[in-house]
Amino acid sequence: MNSLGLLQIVPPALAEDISSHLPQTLAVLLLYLALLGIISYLARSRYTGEFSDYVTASRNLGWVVTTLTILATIWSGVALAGFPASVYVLGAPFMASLVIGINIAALTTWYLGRRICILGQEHGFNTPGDLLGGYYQSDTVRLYTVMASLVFNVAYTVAQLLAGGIVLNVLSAGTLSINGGMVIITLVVLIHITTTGIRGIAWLDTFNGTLILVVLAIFALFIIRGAGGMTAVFTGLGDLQIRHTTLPGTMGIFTPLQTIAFGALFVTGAAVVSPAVWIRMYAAKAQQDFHRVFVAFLVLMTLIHVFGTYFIGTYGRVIFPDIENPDFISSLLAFEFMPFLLASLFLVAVLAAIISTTDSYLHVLAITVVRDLVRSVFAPDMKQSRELTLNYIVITLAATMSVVLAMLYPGLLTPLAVIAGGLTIQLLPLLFGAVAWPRASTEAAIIAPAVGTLVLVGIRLNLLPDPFASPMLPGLAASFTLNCFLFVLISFLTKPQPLEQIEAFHGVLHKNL
Amino acid sequence: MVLYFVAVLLLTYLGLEYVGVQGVLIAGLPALILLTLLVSLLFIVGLLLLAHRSRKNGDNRLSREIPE
Repeated sequence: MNSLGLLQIVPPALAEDISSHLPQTLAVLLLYLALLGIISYLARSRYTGEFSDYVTASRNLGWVVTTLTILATIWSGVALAGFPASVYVLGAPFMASLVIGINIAALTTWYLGRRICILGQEHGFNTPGDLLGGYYQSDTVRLYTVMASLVFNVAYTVAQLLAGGIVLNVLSAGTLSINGGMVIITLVVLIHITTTGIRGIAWLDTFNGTLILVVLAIFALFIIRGAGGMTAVFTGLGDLQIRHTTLPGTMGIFTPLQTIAFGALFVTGAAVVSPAVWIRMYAAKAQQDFHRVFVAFLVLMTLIHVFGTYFIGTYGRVIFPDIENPDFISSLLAFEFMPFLLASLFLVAVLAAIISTTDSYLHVLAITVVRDLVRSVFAPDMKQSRELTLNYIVITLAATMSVVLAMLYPGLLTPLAVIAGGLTIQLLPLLFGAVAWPRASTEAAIIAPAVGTLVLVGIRLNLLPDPFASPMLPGLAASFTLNCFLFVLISFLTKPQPLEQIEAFHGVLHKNL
Repeated sequence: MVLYFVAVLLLTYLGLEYVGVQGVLIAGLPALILLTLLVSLLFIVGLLLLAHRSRKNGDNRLSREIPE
């Protein structure tokens, strides 16, 4: 796609507005990139160049950095632009579902995260495969974590790069093509990851997370002021108000059960068992900090979703009721209600969210491939210095492949992303078994997620019927329920782990919790 | 604490069933969104209670392990 073609997807009014203020927009963008450079430089000075520092920041991240790095990793650019678009189309039930899901995911991550942190410190784990493959003593289980990481991280990295290319294209008023924008973001991210490791990523996430929170708060204030009060944001919907603000929503698809299940499965798949979040549990300084992390996470996520995302999507519907592409609703509204510099800053915040997600996903993708595939299967005696070098090579290859995929197959992204989230959540029963249910067996850990994944793919390809037919997450509830059922059933029919293995995991947790 | 969170989820379900369908604004916000804020508040309180209990258990264990 050339830049002319790209500009056609941006609403003409927005493209024209940015073109006429190009120097200001570029100044905001360059300021952000300069700050990113300073953060990279500072993090570089603390980087030891050792493998454990690269992967887990020597397990020394404080609770504020841990909170904001989790927030910025999950809070992708797609979410910043895509969630207001979903509110625009589906109404308040989408937001209710998302926030309820975040609550359930936060509780689950608090429960599991403390255990992951303790076991990581005790046994020196660096990847999800270290923990699951170690507990079940199975290379097959370890390979599952590699496959889940590959599909999940590639799908979401490609999505972020595409979104980032579009943002840079818009910010440069079409001067820079989407492909050119993707290449620039990839280079920035590659340099940042390979020179600073997870500490640099976490510090940048902290800055980006703060930027996103501040910009969204300002945006909400401008919306309320522009509408003439909070009530006017909703009464402005007119005849649509009732359907937009109540269940089952404008499309009639949100029953109470669907609202809870969609949010819980969607957010849990994207957060709790996402490899990037998992590694942050290893990097946290102490499990005692986790209640602070998740209370802060819940407060921030609830406020920014309700008063940021929800207000943007709803008031966007009031001001632009017939927009062709709802993904642009937040940008259009920003330039309609905020001064130009602040509106540009909003677009830069979207870019910041994209960079934060991309660097985290590429970092974890390389770690899991090198540690759980290359090192575990092919070269168990590999030195850590060599493992680190291999990580740099894999990151470069993965980033290049993601850019090529984004350029060649942008249409494949949505189905791949849905399957990716569904794949990672199949690892949840295994994780529960390893940290909370000593009865879990290796056979169950091998068979149950494989069946769950096959059923998910079968339903997605319309080869199997979906008993819990849901227009939002087809196949996810059915495959996950079957996985859980089989995991429990097979565990009861087969032998649990040897006693010393149970002691090394559950015993350690019992002592430390 | 499991009972607490099960009760919160049940309350969420009932709230969605009966309050989530009311097209009224309360304190300037739709009833469904207000319900969502309440759910978040209950989860936050639950997490704080869990942390408090966990700290208390840790203190008790420590005092048992260190002989006077």
